[in-house]
Order: sequence, then structure tokens, then C-alpha cells
Amino acid sequence: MTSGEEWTPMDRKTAESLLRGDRTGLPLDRVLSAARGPASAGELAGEAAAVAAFRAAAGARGRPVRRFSIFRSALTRPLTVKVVAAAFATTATVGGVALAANTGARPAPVSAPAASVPASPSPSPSVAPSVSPSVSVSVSVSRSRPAGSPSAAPDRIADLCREFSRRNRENRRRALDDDRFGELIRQAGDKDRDRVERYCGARPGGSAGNRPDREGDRKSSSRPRSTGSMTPRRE
Amino acid sequence: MVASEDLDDVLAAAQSGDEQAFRLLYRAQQPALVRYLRVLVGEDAEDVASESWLQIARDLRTFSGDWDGFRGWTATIARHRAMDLLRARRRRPQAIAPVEFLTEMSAADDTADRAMELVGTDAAVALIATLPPEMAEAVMLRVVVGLDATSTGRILGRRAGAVRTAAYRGLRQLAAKLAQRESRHPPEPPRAPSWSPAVTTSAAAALKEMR
Repeated sequence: MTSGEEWTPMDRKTAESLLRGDRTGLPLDRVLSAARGPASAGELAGEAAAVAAFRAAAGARGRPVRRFSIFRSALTRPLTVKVVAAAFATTATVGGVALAANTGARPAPVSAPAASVPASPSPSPSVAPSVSPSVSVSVSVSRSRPAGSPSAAPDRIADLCREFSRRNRENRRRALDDDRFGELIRQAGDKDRDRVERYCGARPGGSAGNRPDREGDRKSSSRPRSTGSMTPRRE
Repeated sequence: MVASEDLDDVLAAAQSGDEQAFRLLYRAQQPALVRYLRVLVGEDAEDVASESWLQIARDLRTFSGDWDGFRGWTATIARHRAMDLLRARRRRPQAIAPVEFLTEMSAADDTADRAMELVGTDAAVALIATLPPEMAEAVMLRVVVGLDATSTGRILGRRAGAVRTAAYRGLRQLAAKLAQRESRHPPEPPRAPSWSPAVTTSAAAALKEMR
């Protein structure tokens, strides 16, 4: 890029401030804040047409059934029971995970895949003899969290959790929109920062939670720690 | 302005069918969209924004995310609709390309000059629109739509670093335009923006054929 010689580091900092809308004392402040200025009546002239389209779409679709509907609470429990049964019958199926994630049924902190292994004695016999690390992880996850989890997921999820937890509050919000975090968000059950934080055992504000049960998914490596620390990656 | 946290709730309500919530979404986001579209399609911005909202209203329930995500999603839709219009214009060579239009306008009316004292929103957007397109888009998405470099990059199909560079260079050029102007002229009273609102052009008809 040709910008290298044009921008000193301080200039870039100033530019970022301008882009964020901070006051810098430069003449550009006025232009940029004007560009962000309040809506004019003319700009909102299309509201009626947009609302009409909204109404038409709602009419075409009938009753809302997505995330925010009453179905969520009404169906949560029976569905969970079915998912539990299915999970035990087949170990963890991906379908079960998706179903459970959509209902948002699981109590968040317990549901962390990390929460499974060493902290508590197993309340139920393992479903299959553990042959490889990934199999044993899978089994233990399906024990502590009946909804189950694909056996390949926990490591990946744990990595995503660590990455998520290293971010500050604002960046976490943005991470929710990042496709890369989609799997984590599905596991957490909802595209909601608090929810993902609870899921990962992270504290708001940027430091990763110091939960002992996080050891479960980490086996040989050190624990995930506070903001910015470089934790060894497993893959 | 409604706080971002509240708009998360408003968005959720709109997704579950609350019409009043949808109105709030519109009022919160439409100004940013139409201003962003201004740098893409000039005087057709209002029409393209209207087309965009038809799609937004239709697909809102399938959207998954919070208010931040919604801003990016709607900007993506607006950009796609703008590209549809620009493609249609290319098939109709008599239509004026937006950048040329704005550049001519700025040369004739000295938009940069007008934009300064007591800067009006339209004048400020018009000034940003005089930048080369990639810079203008990066500046608008970051400053007006309020996206970060990563989200902006996703919309523009570019890396975050390239978006940052484009935005920085855009700001530099804007600053240069302002400095140039201040060395040439004493302050003048602001003038009304140069485009007439919502003129339907022949090119707009082509939007009907979009999905």
C-alpha cells in the first residue's frame, strides 16, 4: 500500500479516533459529525412503505415462531427430555445439539463443554469404552450435558472460548457476528454476549474466567488466562 | 439516539413481529443507509434505500444477530441493491455515473467550500462522496454506519487492513480538501445541498426486476 509513507503511527491513531467519532480538534470533526447528524424528515419519508412491507411479510408468514416466541419456554422442557433420551441412546448426535441449542434449554454455566471431566465423579457409566481422547471427551460431555456434543467440537469450542474471552467487551459484541464464532454461539444457545460469556465462564470486561473446571478440555496444556496472555494452543 | 443495548431489544421485538419496533429500527438505521447509498448511487439513494427496506422487512426474521450485526446486515443489503442499480446503469450508458455526477457537481458548486462552516449533513456527505469510491465507502461505513474495520471489510469484500488504509487515506484527502478551501476562501453561509430529493430516474425502473 502506498499509505506507509503518508501515515505516521500517530496519524493512524488520530484517524482511528476520527472514524470512531471522537473529538480530535481537527476541522474534520465538523464534517464527520455532520455526516453522522440527526435524521431529517426527508430521509425518513419511506417509513410508511417500509412498514407496509413489514406488515405484508408478517402476514405472509403467520405467527412468529422464532427465538423470541412463547414456544421457547413452552417447549423447552419436553424437548430437553427428548434430547436427553436421544443423546443417551446414540451418544452425541449433531441433530441433538442443534435442537438443544435452538431451544436455549440448557442452564448456561453447566453447559460448557469444558465443564465436564475431572471436577465431579461421573454420575453415570460411560457409554462406550474410551478408545481415543476424542471419544472419551465425547462421552463425558454427553454425561454432564445431556444434549451432547459432536466429539470433535470441544477442543474447537474451547479455543473459540479462549479467543472470545481474550477480547474486550466491544470486540466480543463484534465476535458474535463473526462466522468464525458461529459454532461457539450455537453451543452457547443464543447469539448473545452474556450468554456466550457465561457459557465460556468468562467475566465481562475482558478477563477470562478462572474456572477450575476449564481444565477439562485442556488436558495437558496450561489454563486459559487473562486478557492478552498467550496460552499455548493445542492444534 | 437510542442506546445500542436498547436497540438489541427493539430488534428482537421487531423480529417477533412488533411493528412499532420495526419503525424504530427504520428510524435508527435508515439515515445511515441513505447517506451511505448517497456515495454509491448519488441522487438515487432514496430509491435504493426503499428497495433495501423491502428486502429487510421481508428477511428480518431470518436475520440472526444483535443491533451491531443488524447495521452490517442492512448495509450489505443496501450495497447489493446499489450494485444492481449500477449494473443497470451500465446497460444504459446515457445515465450518469454517480462518481462523475458528484465530481462534476463538486467542481461546479465547489462542494468542499460549501461543506465547511456550520456543516450540514447533506453537504458533509456530498464532500465525502467526492472521494474515490473505495475511500468514500470505507469512510461512510465506518463513520456513518458505525461499523468496525472487520465488518466493513466483509461488506466490501476486502481485508480489514485494506479497509483501514482506504479510510485513512480518505480522511487525509478530506483534510486536504478542507485545508485547501480554508486557504482560499473566508467562511460563507451554508447552502442547501445540490441534489433534489427523490427524483425518480429511468434507471430506478430497472430496480423492479430485482429479486
